[in-house]
Amino acid sequence: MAFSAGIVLLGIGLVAIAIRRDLVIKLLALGLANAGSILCLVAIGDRPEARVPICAVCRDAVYADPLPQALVLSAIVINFAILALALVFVMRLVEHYHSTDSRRIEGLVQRDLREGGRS
Amino acid sequence: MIVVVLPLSHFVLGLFCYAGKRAARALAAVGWCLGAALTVFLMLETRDGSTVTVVLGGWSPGLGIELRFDAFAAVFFPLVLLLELAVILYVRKDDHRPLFYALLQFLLGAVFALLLTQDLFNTYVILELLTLVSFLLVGYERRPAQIWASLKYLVLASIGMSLFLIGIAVVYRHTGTLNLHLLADALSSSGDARWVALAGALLTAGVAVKAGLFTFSLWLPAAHSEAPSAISALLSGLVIKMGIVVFLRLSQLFPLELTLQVLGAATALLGAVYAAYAIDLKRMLAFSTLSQIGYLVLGMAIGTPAAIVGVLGYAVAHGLFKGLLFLAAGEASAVVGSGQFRDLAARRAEIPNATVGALLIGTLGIVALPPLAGFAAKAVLLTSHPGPFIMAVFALTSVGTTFAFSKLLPVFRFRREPKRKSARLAAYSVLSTPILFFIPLAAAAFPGLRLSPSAWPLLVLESVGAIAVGVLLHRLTERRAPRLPGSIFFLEESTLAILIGLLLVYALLRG
Amino acid sequence: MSRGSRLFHLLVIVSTGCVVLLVLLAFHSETPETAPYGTYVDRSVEETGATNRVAGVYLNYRLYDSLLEVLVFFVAVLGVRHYLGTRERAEIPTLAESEVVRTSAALLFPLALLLGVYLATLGQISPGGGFGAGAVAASGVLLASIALGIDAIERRLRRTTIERIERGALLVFLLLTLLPLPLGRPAMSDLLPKGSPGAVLSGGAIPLYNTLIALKVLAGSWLILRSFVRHRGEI
Repeated sequence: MAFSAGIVLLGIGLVAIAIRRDLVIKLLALGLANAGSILCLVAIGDRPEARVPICAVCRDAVYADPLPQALVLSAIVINFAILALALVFVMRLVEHYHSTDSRRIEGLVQRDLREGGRS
Repeated sequence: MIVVVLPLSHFVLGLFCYAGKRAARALAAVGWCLGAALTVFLMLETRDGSTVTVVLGGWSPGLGIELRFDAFAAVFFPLVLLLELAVILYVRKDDHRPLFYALLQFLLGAVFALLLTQDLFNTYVILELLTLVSFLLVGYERRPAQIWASLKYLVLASIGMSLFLIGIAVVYRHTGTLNLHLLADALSSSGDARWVALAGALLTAGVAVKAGLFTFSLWLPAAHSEAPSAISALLSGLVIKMGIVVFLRLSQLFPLELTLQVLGAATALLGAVYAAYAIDLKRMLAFSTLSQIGYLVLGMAIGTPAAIVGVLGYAVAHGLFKGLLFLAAGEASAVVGSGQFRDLAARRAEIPNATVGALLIGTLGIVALPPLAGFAAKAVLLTSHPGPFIMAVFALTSVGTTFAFSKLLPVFRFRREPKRKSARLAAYSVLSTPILFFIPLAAAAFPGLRLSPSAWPLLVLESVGAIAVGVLLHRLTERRAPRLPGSIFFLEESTLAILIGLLLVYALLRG
Repeated sequence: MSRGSRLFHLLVIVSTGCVVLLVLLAFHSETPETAPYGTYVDRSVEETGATNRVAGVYLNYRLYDSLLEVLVFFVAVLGVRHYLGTRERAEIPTLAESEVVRTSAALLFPLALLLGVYLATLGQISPGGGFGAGAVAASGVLLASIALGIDAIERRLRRTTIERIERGALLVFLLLTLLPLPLGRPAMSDLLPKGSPGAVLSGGAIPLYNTLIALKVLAGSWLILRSFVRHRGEI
């Protein structure tokens, strides 16, 4: 169930990245897609009637798999780092081109390259 | 145990780079010497075909993370060292901040870590570290074009890694392990289940974004051509090969032959076509990287051990000459003031002799003139019995490569008294020597390789023939240059391409 | 919207829909009811000494992953500071005019620090861990700067000191992982005594690693936050 929700979140995020032209919306959508993939990973560790894997004497009890939770810790930090840096880069682009529209920026970059002697 | 020191020492050195600019340069040299010493030691240890394995923390392979120095690592470590040395020598005179050297050390540490790791999630974390460090280095000079190129790279790489993460989730759900060797056993016994194809498609799509394959890596031309030249050399020569290494590991887990054939052919041909009609040197080199990666992936699709040897050899050779080409192109463009072919040809008198020489050697390598590096590696690939389809694509790609590099012909003029001398001669010679003497060096390092002497005349004929055809075609069609669609490299279209690519890979894996 | 872009939108939605359906169908087919337990079960409390099995995984069995991830965070901090540019304003005015905001922020600051210490040092017996601790503590510092003004905070908490703490914590982490090597043990193995499960001093080196990570994340997050505040010019 949670796995399906994660996949749907990923899908929504990907659609938004491809369809919306505003860079900040794209980054939000990227964060959403990453959150979806993280949800998928956590959902893998679920078991029926599972309890939290923090207990001293629960050898025979059913607890959720601790490995995906540990993996997700790394994934969350990495995604946070990526979003922070992407945001900084968007800020630099906005300062230079005064626009957050990806198509406009692409066009302006191409124009600058042509005038500077590259393509 | 020594094995783990290699990546970690580079991370430690990267931290100490902040002690100052001179300290950073000295540490770069120290790091190289340490890496070289450890590599020589490890290669001597594994000379007889054994591997050096260690599980971090002393746990069993299913519990802890396993590092292994095997044949792949033994082939790639020298390439890393050569490129590292060349780049350090190249940027010696530039006034870079400690941040540059710190990022460089982290990049190298991550590359060593990736070559050693045998754990799937560890691969994910290292790939993300590589993405971040490359992304920062591409945009290092903070020009808007660079920032835009690296932003596109980051977004697409992040999408790819999300897909990779879900692939890890699927694999773990069904097999309970993340160790590559245990996974190989578990997956071979699962046979034909739909989740195997799903996991394979997700993992492959994720890596393909970083490895330079057709529908997934449309960020590559912009990023590799806009980056500072030393960084482009590292990206095209080294970082892209890391994606190939992960692909090699994945192909031992999933039945990827058909997928690799289709994607490899598409990448090789597309890259060659775009390279042929590029008007800027660095952009042409970036498209050529795409095309050569397609070539490598096609070689992987052949599947035989001999083909894998050829792929590894060609990956190293390409790293060498693409690195050399980017370094020389950087100096040439800086001297002339523009990277376009017509400007380079018009003001070729200003380009130092050493730079022209480096461009020449790199070009001869990539068009596979015998007996240089490119020819030797392609020879191994061609004699490993590829099918007719793969042979045809190989031939077309070779012709296309020569066609593209014919644009450099007007630049190859040497002057008796050049206007200026190149400051980067040391860097060029570090890379040129292995290209020129590839065959004896490879035979010395890997005595197991052998090529049947009867095949030599045919191979030489093929190589020279491809070169001749390419140059001839270029001369004939010099006036007409078609406009190729550039919009597929936009961010939105690239995202759609990744999605379609994922569906394609799944279909190929299922049937 | 032009016809071309309408077609493109349709194509995107259709392919994403196919991907989502494909993943869901393929995943749920032939999936066993309960997943096979990973290889971590049962023995992890004896082997790591920590009753928090998740901490046992990411700070003992898979310490290498956590090391790399801390490195990613470090690179992110470097990147944010370098690419935000050096246009730092000297005097930053405080926007929070309201007495309520200032007082409550000043009250929350020590609570946040305390919570950070708790999460970091007891990560081996309850949910928590270095990353959350560092993030909470950095938020606390930000609250303090909202209350008292960032210039006042930075007079006590100098940037160079924070940088040294950050790099120092990461360096100690790296060296600790290599420390077992000259002692003849495998790299990244746990040298400290395990203690009894459930006690405060248990889990071997896990509390130590948690504290180091917390310091690193606190320093790094604060550096990012202050860069943004200085770049923006107001708080």
